[in-house]
Amino acid sequence: MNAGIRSLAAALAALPFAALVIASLAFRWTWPDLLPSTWWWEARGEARLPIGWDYVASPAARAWVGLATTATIAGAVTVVGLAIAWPAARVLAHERFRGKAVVETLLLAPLLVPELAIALGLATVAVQVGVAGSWWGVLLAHVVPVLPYLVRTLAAVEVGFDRDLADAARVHGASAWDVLRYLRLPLLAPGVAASALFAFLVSAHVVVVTVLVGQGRVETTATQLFARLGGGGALDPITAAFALLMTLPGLVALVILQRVLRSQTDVAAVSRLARDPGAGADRTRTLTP
Amino acid sequence: MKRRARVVLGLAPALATLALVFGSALFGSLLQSLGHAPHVGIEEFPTLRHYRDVFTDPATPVALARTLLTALPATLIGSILGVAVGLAWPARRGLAGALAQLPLLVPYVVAVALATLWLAPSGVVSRTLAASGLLESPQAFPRILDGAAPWGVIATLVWKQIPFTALLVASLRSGADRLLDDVAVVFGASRFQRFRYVTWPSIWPAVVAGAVITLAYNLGALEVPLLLDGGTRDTLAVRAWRAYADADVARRPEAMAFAWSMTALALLAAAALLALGRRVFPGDGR
Repeated sequence: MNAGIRSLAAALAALPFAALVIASLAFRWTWPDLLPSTWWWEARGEARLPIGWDYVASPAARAWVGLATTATIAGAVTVVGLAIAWPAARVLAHERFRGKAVVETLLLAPLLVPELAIALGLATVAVQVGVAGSWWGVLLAHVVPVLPYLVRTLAAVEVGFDRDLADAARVHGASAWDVLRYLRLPLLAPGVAASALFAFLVSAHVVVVTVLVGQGRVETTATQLFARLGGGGALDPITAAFALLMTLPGLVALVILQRVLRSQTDVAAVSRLARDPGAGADRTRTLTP
Repeated sequence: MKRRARVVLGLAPALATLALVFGSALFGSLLQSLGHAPHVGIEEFPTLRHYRDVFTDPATPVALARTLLTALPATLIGSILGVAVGLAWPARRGLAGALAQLPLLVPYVVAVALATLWLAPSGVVSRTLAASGLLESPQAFPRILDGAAPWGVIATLVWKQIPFTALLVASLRSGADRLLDDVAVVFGASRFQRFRYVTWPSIWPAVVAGAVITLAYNLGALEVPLLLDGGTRDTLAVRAWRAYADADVARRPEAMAFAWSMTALALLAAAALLALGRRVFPGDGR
């Protein structure tokens, strides 16, 4: 029964995208045809204006601008987010202190407040501070939805780090730099990479905050798709193509995550080895790629 | 003392950023909802007029009903299906596991595009029915996306949220003791007894946490109802959006009052669900 549910869940999740690919390649796809009667490449010779993917690739569609903006903002948000969230996650994972529950709740609060409420407030603040409609404003605004995810995932990564290993290394004369270079970074890298990837995705997916703080002047792929949707009725090929572009970051993340998670189990195995008597610092050194 | 400094220094950047950006946003919108919006020429602070307008508007109960009618079924259905998928989630991440995560890895706007493509009157489902001779014309297809009941919105939210709950459940399940299951089998436990007394106690914190987060999201969701619902039956979030996007900037405080009412609703519902979860299953779990 489990195998049945698994296949059903996978099909339900993935099958809708097949129709999206077909829709993006269609020129004429009328009811009740199950497949388009004219494909985009069959009609491209006759059309005077660019159609289908020709249009998406043309400068007029600004798809490249959207992708570049998305990657730049999401990349910057990830770096800023890591710098802010990692130290906090480290403290939450390893220290006990008064008011810890309050701090944890505060750091997760943006998850429970509706994005629209945050966006409406941020839009006003951005106007007052003078960053509305600019990349800076959007970058700062994106830190809010990204922070809870980063703190949560990084804290989980930090909890997995065995501090006895660091103590053992110090007893054997390792400096703080050695511990960082040969223990913390190699052991934590896969987990941190995974949460950074997640942060990148969250930022790339934010729509309402980007639209309101960016005042329509900061175009990401997500806001471009948002602007094209909502006409009601059928989905035109170009909107379908934009929806596929918007799927791209997630697909790349999925592929990377599958690889990272696999290597993470390797790291866990080696770290168990390293804790064995007789397997000293030299064994740990082999961890570095 | 050194430990204390480490705690403070580690937390300071995150808390300061949160206070500056998130805190000022919430505070700013709260002030606006109370009549302080000098940037659009409104200065009547403090007034509860805008909240009164929101609560006495005859359209508000309709929007509230629409919001609840969307968020509650979506959370319930999504949680049930999420648990079913989570318990069947592959221990080894194969292709099925990777594909099943896809909805989690795309934004809601992509889910809206997919829902339009599949569930519209001329969509793929309608064409498939026509191909099997069950449908005469697209007009005969039920209005799933913008009908009287928000089925299209619910389906879209559920599709996005199944893997979220499933992954939460699967991660708690993988930490649970599998031996207990075998012991229960040896002592002749039925399928239902095994679920109720072995599986459920090990996963319910994940189920409650998933339901709390998805309920808070669904009550305030904007993109899906705004883009799918055709503008006839607005939820609270969509009404707040329309009030803000209105050419008349004097409606800004009203938008903020809507947003704050909606936020209060989402937080109260989340807290209530959390308390309910603790009360109904106090002995279960860890």
